[in-house]
Amino acid sequence: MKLLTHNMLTSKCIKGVQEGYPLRLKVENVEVKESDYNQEFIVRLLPKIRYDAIYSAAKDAGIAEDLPDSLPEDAATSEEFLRKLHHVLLEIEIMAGELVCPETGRIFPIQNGIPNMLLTAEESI
Amino acid sequence: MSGLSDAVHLKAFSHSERRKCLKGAMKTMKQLKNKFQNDVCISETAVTTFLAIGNAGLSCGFSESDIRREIQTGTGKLYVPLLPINRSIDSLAHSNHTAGVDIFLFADEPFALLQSCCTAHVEVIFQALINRIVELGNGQRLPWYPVYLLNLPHCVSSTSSHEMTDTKHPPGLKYLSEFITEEKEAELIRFVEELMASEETKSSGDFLKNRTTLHFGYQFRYGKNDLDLDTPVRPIPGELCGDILQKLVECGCVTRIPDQLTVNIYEPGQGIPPHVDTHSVFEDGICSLSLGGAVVMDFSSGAEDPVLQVLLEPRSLLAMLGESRYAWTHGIVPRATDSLANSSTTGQTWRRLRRISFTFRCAKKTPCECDYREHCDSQRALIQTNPGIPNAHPGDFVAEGCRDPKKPASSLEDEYVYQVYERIAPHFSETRHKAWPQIAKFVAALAPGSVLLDVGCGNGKYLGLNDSLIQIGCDRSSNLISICQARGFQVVVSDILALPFRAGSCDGVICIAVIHHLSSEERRVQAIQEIVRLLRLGGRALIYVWAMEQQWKDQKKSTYLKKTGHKEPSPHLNDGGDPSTSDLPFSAAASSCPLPVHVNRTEFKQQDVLVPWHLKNVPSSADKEKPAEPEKVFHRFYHVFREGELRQCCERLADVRVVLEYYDEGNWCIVLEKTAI
Repeated sequence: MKLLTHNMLTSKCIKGVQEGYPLRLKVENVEVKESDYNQEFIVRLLPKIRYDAIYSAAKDAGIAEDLPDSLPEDAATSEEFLRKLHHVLLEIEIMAGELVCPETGRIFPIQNGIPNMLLTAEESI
Repeated sequence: MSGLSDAVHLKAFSHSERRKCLKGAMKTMKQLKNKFQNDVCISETAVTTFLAIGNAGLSCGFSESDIRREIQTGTGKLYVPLLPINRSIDSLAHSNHTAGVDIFLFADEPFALLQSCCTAHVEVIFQALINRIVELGNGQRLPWYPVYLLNLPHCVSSTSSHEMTDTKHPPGLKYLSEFITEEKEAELIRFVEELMASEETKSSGDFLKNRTTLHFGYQFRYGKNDLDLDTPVRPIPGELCGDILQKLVECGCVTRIPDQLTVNIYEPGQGIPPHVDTHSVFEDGICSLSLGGAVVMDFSSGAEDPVLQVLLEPRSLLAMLGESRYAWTHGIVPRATDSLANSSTTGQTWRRLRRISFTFRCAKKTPCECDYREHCDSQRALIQTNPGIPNAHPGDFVAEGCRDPKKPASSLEDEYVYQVYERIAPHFSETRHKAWPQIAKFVAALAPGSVLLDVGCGNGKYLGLNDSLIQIGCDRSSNLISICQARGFQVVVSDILALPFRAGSCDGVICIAVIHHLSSEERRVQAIQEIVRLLRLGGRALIYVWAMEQQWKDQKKSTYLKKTGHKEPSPHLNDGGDPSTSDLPFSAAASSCPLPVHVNRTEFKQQDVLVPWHLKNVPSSADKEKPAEPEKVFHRFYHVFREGELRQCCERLADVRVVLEYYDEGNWCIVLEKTAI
């Protein structure tokens, strides 16, 4: 699971949860998979992501040292920042770990790089 | 057969003419034997009251009116129909010995049958038709070949012997034939034609895919299935319809003068999907006047009961009151020919003409308080759970076709969808690799940087088509998702009814061949609702579901129905395995659920079915050493969709509009756009 994917995930589908976002992250196994930097692509995805969630997930994963804690104003033009974002969003694969609902503490396992977000019947709305 | 060449009735012809009509007669006889076997006998020499006419049938492009016209021009005489069902007037003319002739046509057959009251009439008709060259609308010319028969086939003569008009009707239905005169009918048709031609209508007429509609009084909103009561549109034309409205009250079809009129124009082959008019929008008493051509309307009260067919003749009025209005669906099957009793062998088959309906209704301004709660949108909120199902959740209704009330919807899916996909995942993935053009087009059209979610992504066939997108897939099957992950895609295991994604986070969503696995309409609509929730404003979703109609109009038969000789199964082949294994109607594996097992590569007989999957063992490197297991058959639950049904599900949602609706290789497909957040 890349952090870009994590950015889209919520636990709001659980009955009673208000926001369920962002999900906390517990990392057990991380892989780094290098990919070509494409500035256009990163700039385009800026409006689609919620930066605060990227930052908190990066912090949970222990890879936030280089990142600013909020989206810089010159984000769309700062190659330095965009490269950091590229690395954090696209080159980090969480292969094993947990996603945790911030409101209920419910744990969703990540195995083989895949988060399992299936709910039980009691949890479904 | 040799007696024919000596037949008295051919004596008048020259040698070459006789040869020609003999050849034609032989061909016709072969066709008759093919359809009726020994049930029909040719008369070699005697003149009888029964004729078969080769080349005059429906499959050649002729209709009953064509045959009557040829008879009239050929004999100089007009023969009226004998049977009541074929007449527009109820009285029987035969008692006065008015020369009468009945014509019987059969879907997909090139011949017509004819019976008359006396041999004298038939003889005249025979002489007029023999070797007659008749021209079709498209300029093609065909010779007709009349042949005397000793009898009519049993299926025709048995139905012609009793009254056809006393078919069963749903309770509360009123049918009044000849409600208006032929002059009035012509006047109304002219009015509609002029309106359609005028500039004003070109922009405001609703051109739905399967018919054209016009509204008067109030505009019907197909997105919300209600009336726009705040903005009245052009009123019901007073001079034209005043008498009709009066008569509707006098006949007890309505309690007050209707204030809404919907005109529907059905070209031959068009229909309307089965539906109940929304309770909260219209009062009791929905009246439909039919003009132009006769059609058969189907009424259904539920999946288990047989469909009741009601013939709607031109100039007749159909009034739906009470149970027939609130608790039965009505619809018209889109097809080019109609027949009664749902069988093409009864002989009462005719080719459809253009039909125009004037439906008069009273707009409702208060919530509905009818007795038919299960169908009532005003009272639907009151229905919490079905007390008969243990541990049922709100909205957890049993598959409509499944007769076992003890199984809640999700456990049916668990057994016949989720567990099956987990077991067949590798083999299933093998059969799914060719991206369908229309779907690929949708994906390619998304702007670079768009977020695309594939709900029910299976083996990831549609992920990775467009590298400029942010692509994520989700599916309930861990095994299929693992296959996606191995291919390098970003995927999540999740349930379509509880999608763990942010609302408004997706620019595009595709959901291909998923929703038909959900076992109740509530769940299917909920799935669409979930998908729409994820779209951003203006975002679009593409949904594909398996169609009940596997052969649609003029399109070639869907690949599913065709036998393919290719090694690679066609993209839509949902059976995966060798089709030579015949399926028992109720296999042992499916005996725990009384749903019928569909026979692969045939038309669907009902909407809720189990479809077999013949599992081929895909050897992985790990178990090469294992002995080969016998081939197993799995059954997957499907609810196949009728035309318009997917759209109807989508129209139950408020924040979305239908952009496009089409049929693709045995699937009903829809593109939705989010219009509000």
